[in-house]
Amino acid sequence: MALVIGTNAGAQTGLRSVGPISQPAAVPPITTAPAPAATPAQTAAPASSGTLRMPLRQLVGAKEPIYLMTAQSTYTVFLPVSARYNVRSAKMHLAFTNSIALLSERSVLRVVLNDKVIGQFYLTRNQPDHAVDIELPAKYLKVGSNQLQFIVSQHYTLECEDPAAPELWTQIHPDESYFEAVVSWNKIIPNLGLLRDMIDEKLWDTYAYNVCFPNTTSGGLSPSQLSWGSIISQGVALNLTYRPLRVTTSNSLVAGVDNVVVGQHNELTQYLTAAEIGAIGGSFIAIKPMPGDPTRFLLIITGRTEEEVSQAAYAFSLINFPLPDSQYAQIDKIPPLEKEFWIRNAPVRDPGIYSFRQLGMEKNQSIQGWNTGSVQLETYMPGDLSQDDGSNIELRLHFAYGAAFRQDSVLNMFVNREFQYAIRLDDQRGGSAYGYKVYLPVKAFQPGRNLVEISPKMVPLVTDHCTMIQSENLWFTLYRDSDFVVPRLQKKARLPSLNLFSQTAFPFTSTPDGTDLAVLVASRDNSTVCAAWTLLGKMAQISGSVLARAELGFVPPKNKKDLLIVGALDTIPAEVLTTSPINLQQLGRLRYLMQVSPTPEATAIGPIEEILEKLRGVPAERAEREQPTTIEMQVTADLLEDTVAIAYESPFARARGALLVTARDSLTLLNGINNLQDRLFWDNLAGNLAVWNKTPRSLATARIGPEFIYKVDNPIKRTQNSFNSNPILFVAVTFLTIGILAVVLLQLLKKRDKKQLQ
Amino acid sequence: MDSLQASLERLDQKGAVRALAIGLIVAVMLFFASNVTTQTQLAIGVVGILTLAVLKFVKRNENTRVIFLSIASFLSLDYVFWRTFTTLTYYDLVSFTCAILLYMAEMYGFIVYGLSIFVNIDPLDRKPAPMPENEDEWPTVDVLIPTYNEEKEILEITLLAALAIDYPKEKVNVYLCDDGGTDQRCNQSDPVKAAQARERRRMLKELCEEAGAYYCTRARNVHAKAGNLNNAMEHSSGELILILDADHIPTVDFLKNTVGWFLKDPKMFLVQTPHFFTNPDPIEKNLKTWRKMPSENEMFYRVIQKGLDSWNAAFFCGSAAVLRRVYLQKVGGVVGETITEDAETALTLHALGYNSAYIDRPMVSGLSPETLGGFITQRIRWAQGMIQIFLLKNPLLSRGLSFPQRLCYFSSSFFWFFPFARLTFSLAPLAFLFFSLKIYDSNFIDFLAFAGPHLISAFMVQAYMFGKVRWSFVSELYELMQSVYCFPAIVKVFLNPRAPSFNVTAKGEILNRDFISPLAKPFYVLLVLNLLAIFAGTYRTIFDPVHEFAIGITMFWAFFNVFILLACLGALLERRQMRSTARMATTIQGRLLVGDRRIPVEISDLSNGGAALAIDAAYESQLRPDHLFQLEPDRDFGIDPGVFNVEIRNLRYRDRTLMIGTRFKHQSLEEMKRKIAFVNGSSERWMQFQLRREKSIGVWGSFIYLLGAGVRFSIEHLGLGLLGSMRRDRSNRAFAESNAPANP
Repeated sequence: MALVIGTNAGAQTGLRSVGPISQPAAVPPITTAPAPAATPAQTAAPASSGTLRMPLRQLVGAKEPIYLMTAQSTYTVFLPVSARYNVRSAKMHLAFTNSIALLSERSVLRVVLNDKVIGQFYLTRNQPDHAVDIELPAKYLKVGSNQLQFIVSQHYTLECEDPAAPELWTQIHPDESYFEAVVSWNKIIPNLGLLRDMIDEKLWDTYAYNVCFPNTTSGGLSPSQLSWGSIISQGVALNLTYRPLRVTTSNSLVAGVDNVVVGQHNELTQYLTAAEIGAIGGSFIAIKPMPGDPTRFLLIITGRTEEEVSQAAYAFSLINFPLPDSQYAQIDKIPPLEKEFWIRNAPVRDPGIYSFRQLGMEKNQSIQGWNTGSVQLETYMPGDLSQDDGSNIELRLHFAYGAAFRQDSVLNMFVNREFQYAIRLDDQRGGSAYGYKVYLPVKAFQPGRNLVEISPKMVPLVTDHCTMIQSENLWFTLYRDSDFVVPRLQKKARLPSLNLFSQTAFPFTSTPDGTDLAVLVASRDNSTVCAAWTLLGKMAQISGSVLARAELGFVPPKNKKDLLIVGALDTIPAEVLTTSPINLQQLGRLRYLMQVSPTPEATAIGPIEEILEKLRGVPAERAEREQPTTIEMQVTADLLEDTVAIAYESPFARARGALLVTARDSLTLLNGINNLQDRLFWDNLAGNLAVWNKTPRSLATARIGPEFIYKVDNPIKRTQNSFNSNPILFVAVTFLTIGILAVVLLQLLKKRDKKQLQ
Repeated sequence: MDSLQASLERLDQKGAVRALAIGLIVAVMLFFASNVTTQTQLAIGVVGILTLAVLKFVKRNENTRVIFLSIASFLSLDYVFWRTFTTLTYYDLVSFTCAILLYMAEMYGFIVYGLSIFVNIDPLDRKPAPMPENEDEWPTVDVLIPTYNEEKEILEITLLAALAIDYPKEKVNVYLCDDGGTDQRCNQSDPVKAAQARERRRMLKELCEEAGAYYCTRARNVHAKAGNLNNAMEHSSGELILILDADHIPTVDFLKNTVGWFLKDPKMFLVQTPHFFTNPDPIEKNLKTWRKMPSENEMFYRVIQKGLDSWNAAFFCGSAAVLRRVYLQKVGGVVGETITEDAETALTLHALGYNSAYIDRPMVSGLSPETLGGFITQRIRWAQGMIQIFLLKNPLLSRGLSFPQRLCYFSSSFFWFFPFARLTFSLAPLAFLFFSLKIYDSNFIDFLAFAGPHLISAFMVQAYMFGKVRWSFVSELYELMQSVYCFPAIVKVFLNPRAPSFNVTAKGEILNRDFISPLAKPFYVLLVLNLLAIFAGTYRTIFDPVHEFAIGITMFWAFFNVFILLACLGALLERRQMRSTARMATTIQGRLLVGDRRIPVEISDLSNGGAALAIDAAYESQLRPDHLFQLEPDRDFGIDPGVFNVEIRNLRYRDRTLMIGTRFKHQSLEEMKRKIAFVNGSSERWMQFQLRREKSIGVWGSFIYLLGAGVRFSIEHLGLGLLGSMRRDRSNRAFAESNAPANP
């Protein structure tokens, strides 16, 4: 997909940039807080100068600790610095622990920032726990990603040693380590081409912005405004990759945050001059500094009609390529996008062959040394990928490896950190393979993002004690034209599942443009609206697509779409609540659940049943199915500060998903959804019921109520599904059908023979 | 089952059974459209094969047969669906081209296989219809014997046998239709050949006059055999026409077993009967399988024609068939646009809505070509003719045929594309083993799950339907033997569909020495290529273990090709053939009249030339070679032979029995006619002969048998080749070349 981009001279179609614009004569009113009362955390405008802190965990991502093993080892993170910051000073607080077997005099940890050593520490055996502050010199920090390496040299003896000895280790604690910086905000350059650097994932603090609708009536937002805000929020969210966002809405500008003003051009007289308004000939985007605060921007999204405003908002959400160096632009046309359109994270199409280059391996990867890394490929599976699928994904590997490897050198393969397969690299003369086929079970993959890791473990041939060990021969190269062959995948999503929702935003992103999604925003107050936008923004981040065709409204949409309901509990329509698997009828109260022990997945079986089980593929079925783990008790309690998410079958359409996110009141709901963006909450969603609260931090999940198979809503599909789940039944029915067919054919043949012989 | 069938019958009255059948077929098709996991597919394959295995041992009847074939069809359709939609992957142009060629060859095989199941799902075992008591109601019959260059001795036997047919004499007229003595040939520019033609005309005319038949010839040789027959039709008037090839000796009961169907069905235009041969074809002879293994043509005449008959699509095979004159005349006689005028005529008459019947009872005994050259010439004519029908009269597009008839005729003509498939299969493994071309994109598990059940079930179906009349791998052998020479002939037809001309198959040739057929050279090339492919595969297994699955499969394939090619080489060693009349083993009792003594004998074998007699050794002193005696056989198969004059040719002992070789020395035409009727006149004898060699030895048995023959005779072939290369002289080459086929 690409926007059609014209030239400054004035293309007839496409995105046109126009010359500089000036501030209107009348300075628009600016409030210091959005219209709805919001918590300070939501709207606290970053001070023009202040101290920011970011835990190391935020850069590491994974849950496990960082281990540095062997005699020499390196761990690298990339420290982001946004162009919007002027970093005055920065430091890192580093907490780590080393092995007490290390020889202190020769064991050192170096910290290297952009190839400059900024700190080094002995790894002392007497005091193995360390907490140190390291200055990050501002002159070495650059805007963008800064490479920060932790390099250890570890020894346990002055004599010759085993460089892979297990006692050679140091652990860095990402949760206790953090970065701290004193920054001021730079003035923005009103240039649409720099917009991507302003809505920046490299910001250390949460990105906040306000969506301003100047003509909002007292009755709240209109459905169009609701939709525009949703699309803009998704555009912002996509630009932030996986970072959280904070959105507010108002009918005037809000100080201390970036503002996006949206409306038809004649409603924006406060923000555009009459001449500028007159010059607008279609969908229009412009950027200016905020009046009175040049460190924040004012983005104007407008058009002559509602349709043109919609197009401008959509164009903004799609932008993932630097816009022209211009202050404003007119969008004449967005080319028709294919139905399966993702900005990123597009799931693989099946069947299909992808080269590793298409999976992000831009160039051939050479790895050298003992334990120096792996090749990682990121791939996305469809949200409805069935865990019953017994087929395999085929890797056709083109690789070469060096000579004089020991027999136990191997190439390990992992999917989502789970070991799957290994190839021996045991030809001492070295070797290469073209199209080496490796089969990875589809079951090892999960819906959504998957990590395939190809990790050579190379051991030199000569590793005798006190012998010079040659490691320069330890080379492995994986070529980028290796293939990732996707078979025809079986699609079956067993719902409701918050786990699936957190991985892929399924089922609400089953169509990437949101065609199949209806969103019920239960009330028109700003907090509820912002809560819905935030959740949609998070979903867009997960799916990598803009849900521009999602149907948003304030009344229950009684159609055959997947339903997302956001609202305070007292505003949720009864018809939605009554079908919920948990009784929320008593306003503001949630019945207690009782945790129960899981029942066995299968009863003990004999040898014949075991064969049948194998044929039936029960283990896969078992692996996928989540059993109810709770029983509802007739005890109720107030929701208080908790936010609740319940997934169940849509009350308006069979075999369609519904997700209700609610809280005691709209403000609690907004806080709850803002908090949900935290990975500690989002990544741990499970079952179909989640209740969470930030203070004290808690997340409880449970499985309750009936399951259903997504979109399997008629007898034929249900039958097909039963067959796929139960091969024995499938085989029996198939052969029974053939048998009946044979009998019928026989009858016809007898009739024919009779006729022939008469 | 009975109540189910009763219910179905009730339903059928409302036409619901057809709807049900279509619905079920749709249900099965839906199966292919659903995404089945490999695991499920494996389960389906295993259950399917096990069910077939069980059904194979259950007592066979039409119920089990239909179920068996339905399951096998399902497994194969499943494979084809998978093969089509998942294994054709584009890697590069060359690989993809080869992959598509292989796919087309496979699809050819699948279509032929599918049509074969359709045709033979429930063959019709039609019995002769009874003749009316009143002979006045019997129709008149003209027996037409077309000839071109056959020897007088062969024609004499056929003519006399035709005259001996048990039918009212006033209602049968026999015509010898001689295309070798036409005015055109008698007056040709070459004086020697013209004299030979004139002499032939005189001699055959005399023979006819003497025997009581009509000699019939014409001015010009136009439209080959069809023109010859049409000319004879103009000079005759019988209601029915029996057509016999010059070497096809009819049994006495021929007309009584066939004419009844014309009386029963007024729309009947054809009653076809099998062609039965009393000598081995050259492949049988060279591999020494004669009398041990069913002949190649038995699959067609014992099963397929019955299947075709069940769909009212049994077609005319050029001889041993009775046709109704009035219908033939409606289409202008035997149609001759193609060189397979027989099938073309039947197709034309079927399209007009007339019926045909096939009676599976051998009622002619004929001669196969003696040499591979003659054999290949014959097959090239069939191939070209059927491809002509495919191109010029495509059965799928012909108006008037029913849908099953279209499929049946399409099956019969489409089959002849086998040379393309066979040559592709012979060369395909090389594409991977030599050039690493990716021609079949699959992993081992998927291949096992889809191709495994298909291949196993296809072999099981072959054994189930044809096991007794066509052993496993025999089709591969015969088809590969023909493919090398039929392929260019087929290409020629494609380039010019009207170009092929009718080549007469040589019969009754005599070979007086063993020699390597001049047709062998292309098979050396194929064998060497496949052996090199195996070598390359072995090398790659050692040095390129990455592709072990693909290498393993293709090496297995190359081994299979070598196995078939070895059998081909064995068959390409032409064996000496001294006897011009084939002998059939018998156990007929009789007496040898020596003076006034009647010595009991057992006739142990019998031919038109003579008989072998087993006799008590005590009588040896009374027997003198070259002396004339009289043989009085017992009545056999309802034929009362009378007494024949025989001359003793040799005496020898087998165990303690004295074996006497005799030659018939008939003293009159009447005696000769009686002899011919005695030797060739019983269809029951031919039936029993056929049944004796109808046995199934299973896939492995057939493999071992053919492997043994292939290895043994290919070694002999190569040994003779080596010897020949040392001793070869000009005359030897000239002799070999004289046996080359006419057309390739």
